[in-house]
Amino acid sequence: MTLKPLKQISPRLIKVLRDLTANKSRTLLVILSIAVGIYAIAATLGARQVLMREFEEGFEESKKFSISYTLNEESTRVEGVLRQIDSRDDVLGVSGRRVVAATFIQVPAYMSEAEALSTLSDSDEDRTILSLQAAPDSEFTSGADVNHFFSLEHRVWPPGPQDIIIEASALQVYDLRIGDRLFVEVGSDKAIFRIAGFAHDINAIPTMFFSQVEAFVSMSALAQLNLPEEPNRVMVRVDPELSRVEVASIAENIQSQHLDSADIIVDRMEVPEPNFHFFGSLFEAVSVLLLFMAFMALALSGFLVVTTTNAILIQQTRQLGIMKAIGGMRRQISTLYFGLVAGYGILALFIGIPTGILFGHAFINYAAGVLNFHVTSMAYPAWVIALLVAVGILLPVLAAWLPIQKGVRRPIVEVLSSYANTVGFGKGWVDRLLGKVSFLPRPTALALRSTFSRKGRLVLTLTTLLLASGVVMSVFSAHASLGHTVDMIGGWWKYDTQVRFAAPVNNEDLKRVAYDNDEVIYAETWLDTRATIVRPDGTKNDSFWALGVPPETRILDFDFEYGRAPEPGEQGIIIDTELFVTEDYLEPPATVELIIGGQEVERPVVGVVTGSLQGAHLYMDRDDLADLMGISGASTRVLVQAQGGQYSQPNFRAVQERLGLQTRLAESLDRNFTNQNHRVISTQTAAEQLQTQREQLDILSTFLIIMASALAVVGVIGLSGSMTLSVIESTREIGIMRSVGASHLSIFGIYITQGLVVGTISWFFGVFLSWPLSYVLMMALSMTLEMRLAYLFSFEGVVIWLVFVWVISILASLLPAWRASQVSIRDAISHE
Amino acid sequence: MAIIEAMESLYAHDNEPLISLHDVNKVYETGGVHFSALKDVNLQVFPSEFVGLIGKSGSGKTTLINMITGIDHLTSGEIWIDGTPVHTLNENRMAIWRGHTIGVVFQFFQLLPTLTAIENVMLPMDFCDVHARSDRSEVALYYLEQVEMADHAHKLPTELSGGQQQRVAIARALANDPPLIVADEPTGNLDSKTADAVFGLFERLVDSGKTIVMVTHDNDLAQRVTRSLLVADGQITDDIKAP
Repeated sequence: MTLKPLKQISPRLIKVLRDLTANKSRTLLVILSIAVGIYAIAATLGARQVLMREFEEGFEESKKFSISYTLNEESTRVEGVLRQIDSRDDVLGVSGRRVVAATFIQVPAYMSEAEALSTLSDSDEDRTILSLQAAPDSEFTSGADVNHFFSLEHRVWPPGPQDIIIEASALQVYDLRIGDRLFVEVGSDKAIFRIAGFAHDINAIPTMFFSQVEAFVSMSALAQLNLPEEPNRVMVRVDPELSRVEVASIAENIQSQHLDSADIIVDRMEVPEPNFHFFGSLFEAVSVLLLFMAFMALALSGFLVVTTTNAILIQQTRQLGIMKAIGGMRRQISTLYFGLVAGYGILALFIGIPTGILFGHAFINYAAGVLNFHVTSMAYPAWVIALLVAVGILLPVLAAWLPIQKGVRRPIVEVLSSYANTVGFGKGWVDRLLGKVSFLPRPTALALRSTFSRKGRLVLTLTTLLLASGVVMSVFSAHASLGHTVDMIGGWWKYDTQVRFAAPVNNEDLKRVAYDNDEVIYAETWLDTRATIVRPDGTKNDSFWALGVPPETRILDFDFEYGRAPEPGEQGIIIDTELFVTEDYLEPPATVELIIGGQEVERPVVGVVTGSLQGAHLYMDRDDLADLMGISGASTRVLVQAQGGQYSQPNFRAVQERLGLQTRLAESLDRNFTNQNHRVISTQTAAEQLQTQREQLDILSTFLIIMASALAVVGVIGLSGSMTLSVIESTREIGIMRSVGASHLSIFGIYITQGLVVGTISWFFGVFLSWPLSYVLMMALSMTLEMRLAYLFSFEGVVIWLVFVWVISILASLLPAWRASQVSIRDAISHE
Repeated sequence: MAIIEAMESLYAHDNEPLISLHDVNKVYETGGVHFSALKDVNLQVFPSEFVGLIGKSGSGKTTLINMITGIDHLTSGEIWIDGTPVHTLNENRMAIWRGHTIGVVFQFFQLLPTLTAIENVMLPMDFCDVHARSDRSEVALYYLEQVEMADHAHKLPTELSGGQQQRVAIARALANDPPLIVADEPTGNLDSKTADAVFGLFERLVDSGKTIVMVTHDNDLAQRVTRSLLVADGQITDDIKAP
C-alpha cells in the first residue's frame, strides 16, 4: 500500500489521523467505549430534561383553571355572566362547560342504531364510566382559555351533534377507533355517538389510573341526552403566580359580584393549589429516578472513558519514547496525544449522541403515553448537548492527562527498554496469594493471575462494572420493593369481591342477599359518597371519596402514618396520605370542616393512614355518614369474603390465583342483587383492584428497568473493551503460550475465564453497593410519592444478575478471546 | 615516551573535540543493590571520527551512548557535546538540543508505525522547526535518496524490510543535519549483506563530515571504523585508532 503524501500537513497531525485509522478495530473499540458513555447520559439525562420541560410547558399551556364553580343543574343565563367575569382585570380566561357523568358501551359493528338503543340499556355488559364535557364550539376552533385541550386526530372538528371526541389516554386501555359508535347513558337518557376524533387534555386523569374515560362533545350534542345547552361548570383562570389565599379571595368576589347577583346557585366552589397537577408527585418520582440514573451513567461513563484512555496510552508508550529521542519536546508530544484522544472523543460523539437521543426519544414517547402528556418538541436542551460534548471530548482529555504526563516524563531509556511495557505481576499480597493457588488447572490459574497483572486497569474496569452491577441489582430491589408495596396494600383490603349500587340499600337486605351465595363466608356493608373539605381559609378542595366503614370492620386493616383509629362511639375520621398531601394542616389531632351530602359538619381527624394508590380517601363511621346523608341503616357497597381466602398475609400472586373465584362471585352477586331490584353500578374483585395498583407502580419499575438496561450496556461494552485491550497487550504472551503447545481452545478458554473472573468480582462487590443504592432510591421515591413504600432487598435479583453477569461476561469476552486464539506464533513473537 | 608523544601528535586534531566526557559515572539501583554501569569514563571524540564501541553484552556500551545522547542521565561527571554542557540541560532543552545536534539510530529501527517513510523523516524537522514547512518533504526526499529509499518514500514501515527500515531510520537521523550520529547496534538485526550496505552508508556520511559513534558486535564491521573503543565492566579499556 502506498500512501499519497499529505503535503503541507504536519507529520504530527498525520500521526494523529493515522493512529485513528491505522488499527480500525482498536479505534472502533475506543470510540465505542466513549460513545456508550455519551449514549447513556444522552439517554437518561436528556430524556429527563425533555420530559420535565415538555410536561411543564404542556401543563402551563393547558391553562389549568384556578377556580371552578359547580352550578346548580337548573342554572340559566350563564353565558352573560361568563362575559362579565371574562371582562374583569384579575381574570385571564373563563370557560363554561356542561360536565355530565355518564357511562358507555361500545356498539357492536353488526348492530343498527335503533337496535342498539333498544337493546343495550338492558345489557349485562359492563359499562365504562364516561366524563362527558360539552364545550362551546369556539373552544374547539380557537382553543379554550381555560383547561385547554386540542385535537390529536379527527375526522370532524368541532364535533357535530352526534359526534364525540375521546381523550387520548383512553386508547391505552380501550380499543377505540374513529368511526366507532358508543351507546351513552346519562341516568335514563341514552344516545348513540360516533367517535369523530381524539383529543389531548393534560389535566384529564389518564384512564389507566381511574378507569374513567374523558370525552368532549359540542353543546348541541346535549339535546340528544335531553340535557340543556347550559354550562353547569364555570372554570376561571387567574394569575398562576397568586397564592391560593389570594385566588380564594378573587373566587369569593366573583361569586358574590357575578354569580350570586345573577341568581345562579353555586353548589361547590373549588380553588386547587395553584400549579398543582395530580401527577406532580409521580413526575417528581420519575424525575428523581432519571436523575439517579443520569448520575450513575455519568459516573459509569467517566470510569469507562478513563479506563479506555489509559489503556490506549499505555500502548503508545514506546512511540512516545521514540519521539522524545528524535527531538520531540514534552509539550509537543503531549499536544499530539491530547489531539489523538480528542479525536477519539469527537468520533465517539457522532455515535453516542444520535444513539442516545434515539433511545431517549423512544423513552420519552413511552413516558408521554403512560403519563398522558403531549410532546411538542424532542429537542434536547443546549446545556445537555454541551455536557455530552464535554464528556465526549473533555473527559477523555482529562482522563489522558495523567497517563500522558506520566508517559512524557518517563526517561527515554526506560520507555524504550524491552521491559518497559511488560506487566508487573508478583508484587503485593494479592499476587503472592494468587501465586499460592496451586489446586487450579494451569490455564485457569494463568487466567486468574493475568486478570490481576494490570491492577490499575482492573480497578477501573471493575469500578465500571461494579457501578453497573450495583445499579441493576438496586433496580431489582426497587422492583421487588414496589411489588411488596402492592402486596402490603393488598394486605389492608381483605375482601374478594365488592359490589357497588346506584342508590343506598338497606344493610340487612344487602347482607341477606350476599349470604344467599354459598361461597360467601363474611359480608360487610359500606357507604360511599363524595366529600369536600372547607379549608381554614374558606376555600374548598377537590372532591374525594368518603367511605363509611363499620367500626368492627374485618375488611380494612389500616396502616397508620400518624394518630390512631377512632375510639368506639367517637365520631373521629381517618384520612389517607393521598388526601394529606394537599391538606397537610390536618395532622392529628385536628378538626376538619367537611361538606357531605350538602351539609357542613365538623369532625376530629384522629389518624392518617397510608394511601392505596386509588385517589384521596376519608374513612369514617358508616352509621355517622349514613346519618349525615339522611339514609340511616343503608349502604352503597357490599364487600364479601369467600371460602379459602388467606387474608392474614395476602400477596399479589395469591390474590391473582383467586381471580377466577372472585370473578364468578362477582357475576353471581351481580345477578342476585339485580334480581332483587337493587341496581348494581359496578363489581370489583380484589385481584382487579390490586392489578390496577400494581400497574401504577409498574410504571416506575418499567422506567427503572429500561434505564438500568441502558446502563448495563455500558458495562458490557466496558468489559469487552477492556478484554480486547488485554488481548492486544498480551499478544506476545499468547505467542509464547502457543509456541509451548497451547491450543486455540486453551487460549480461548483463558480469556473467557478472565472475563468471568472480572464479571464475578464486579457482581460480588456490586451486591454490597446495591443495598445502600436501592435503599436510597426507595427513600427518595417514598418522599416524592409521599407514601410509605415497602423496602425489600431482592436476593432473587442478586442471583438473577449473577447469571446475567456470567452470560454478559462470556458474550463480552467472546470476540477478544476468539481474536486471541487466532494469533499466530510468528505474528505474536514479532509483535512490538 | 617520545614515541607515544610522537604518535599522539600524529593523530592530534587541530580542532576542538565534538564530544568530551569527564569522569562520567552511572550507577543503577535495583532492589537496594547498586550496580556501576560506567566508572569514571573520560573520552574525547573529534569531528569526522567514526567511532566504534565494542564490548561484550552488559559491558556498558549502550549506557555510554545513552549518556552521550542524553537519553539517560549520568550519576556524576560532565558531558560536553559541541560546546554544550549536556549534563546541565533540563529535559525540554535537552529535547531541542538533541533534535538539532544528534541523530539517533536504534537497533530495532523504531520507526513510527503509522507514518510513512517520508513522514518519519519529516517528523524531527517538524518537532525542531527546521526548514520551511513547504520545503520539508523535499528535504526528506533528499535524505531518502541519500539512503536509496526514495522509491519507498510513501510506504509504511510494515511494508519495508529490516534493512530498508534501518535506512529510513538513518535518513530520519540525518533529517535536521546534525553534526553527530549515534547508533546502537544499527546492523544487529540485519543480515550481513544489508549490514554491509548500511555500514557503507555510514562511511559515506563520515566522508561528508559527520561524526558517528556506533555500538557494534560485528568484529568484521568494527575493523572498518576509524577508531575503536573497547568497553569492559563500565570502563574504556582500549582506544584503537586506525592507522
